[in-house]
Amino acid sequence: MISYNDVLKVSKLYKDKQFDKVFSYINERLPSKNIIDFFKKCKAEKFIETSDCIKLDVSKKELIIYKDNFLKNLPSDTEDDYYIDDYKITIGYPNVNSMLPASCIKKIQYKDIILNLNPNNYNHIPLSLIKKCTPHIEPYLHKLNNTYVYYVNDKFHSRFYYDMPIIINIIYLCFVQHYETIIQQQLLLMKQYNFTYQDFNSISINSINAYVKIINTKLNKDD
Amino acid sequence: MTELLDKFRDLCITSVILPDSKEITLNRLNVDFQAKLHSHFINIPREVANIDNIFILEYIKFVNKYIIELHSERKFTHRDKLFLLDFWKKDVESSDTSSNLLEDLKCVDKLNEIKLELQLSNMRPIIQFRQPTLEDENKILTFLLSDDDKEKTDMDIVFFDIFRFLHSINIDSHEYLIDNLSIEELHKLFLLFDVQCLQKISKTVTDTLDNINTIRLLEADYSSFY
Repeated sequence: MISYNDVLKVSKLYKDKQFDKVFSYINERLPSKNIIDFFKKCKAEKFIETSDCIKLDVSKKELIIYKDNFLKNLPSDTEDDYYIDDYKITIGYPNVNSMLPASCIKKIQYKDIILNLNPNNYNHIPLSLIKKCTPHIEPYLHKLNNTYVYYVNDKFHSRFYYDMPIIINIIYLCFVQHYETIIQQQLLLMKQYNFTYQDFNSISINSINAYVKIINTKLNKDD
Repeated sequence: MTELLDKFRDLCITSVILPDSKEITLNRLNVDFQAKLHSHFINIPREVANIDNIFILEYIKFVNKYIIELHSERKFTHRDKLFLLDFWKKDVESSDTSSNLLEDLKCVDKLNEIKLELQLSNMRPIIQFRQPTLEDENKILTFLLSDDDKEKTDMDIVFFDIFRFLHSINIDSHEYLIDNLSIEELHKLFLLFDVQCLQKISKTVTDTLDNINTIRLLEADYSSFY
């Protein structure tokens, strides 16, 4: 789960323009099999209630993105086997943190020996083998690049491209909040309502927003 | 699983005979090279003018450094690099087309024999050429890339591409060795040359290395192994 403190942390990192750390932090919190899995987890964390949405300022107007409009056309996670030279190679969608075609290679089988690939052990694969896999890797990248970050209508949409700045932008849309506002909110809850700092490690920002809503309603009634 | 990893490790190791640095053992290009190149590029800020020129200079510097680190005790030359780039390119593409590259690369030696006379105001300096080592090249590249705020123009590429081949400048029978100048001084010297002189020097280098100009293009093509 991405907690209130996680949102606070990434919002601070984003404010300080430490974009690579924003990515590493969320990637660590949401371990994923590949980029499709990562995006599904981001989406699931962001859109919990039906009314959850992302609000953007576009052309001086507010653009509201609901769950169905976000990461539109994200392909289903699939893998296939291909026979190249003497190897049986399993190819699928790339990892979220690599940006290299090699990360589309999931498994290499040579006779009875199977090598499951991950960023820690694929460095020794010759580029000549990667090059031979390229025609089979490209359809996955092509499908992935057909995704929209959001698609509201023909006028308001944003295409996805497999590149780190766009992945960071998706993390921003899902998890980054106005830092000063949420830290003030946290301090208020700790001072007035007996929350401890540790409590925010196990509560999502949605839950806190729900608590604040209740508190505000109560305060308004009392007035 | 380790068995297959070992097989890939073994597959990657090979030995080649370089034109100047003789036989060396080295890795065929693998994902490690691509990953290092990717990490190098990802740290380059994108929102700057002439990003393509930055990528070109950074890529040449990266490849030079990669080769230098293969055997740090050797002084790899420009010709060694071109040979290796061709070897790696053919290997990645699994190409078995034969070529006379070793023979063609001998044209680099012709640079040493050239004495190019220029007309610069009322002076007639004579330029002599050399084959640079990769360390010579990287000194120029480090200088050009050191100032992040300075825009990397096409003239920076021209400076690198032709001034790395300069050995000396002879003025009034006095020989000034390029090696005795700092790169900053060399750059100031470059700025004193008019366009005609620079074109003349560039044409001399390009014409002399005509046989290997296709491989020289590979030197700056950062998409080659990406």
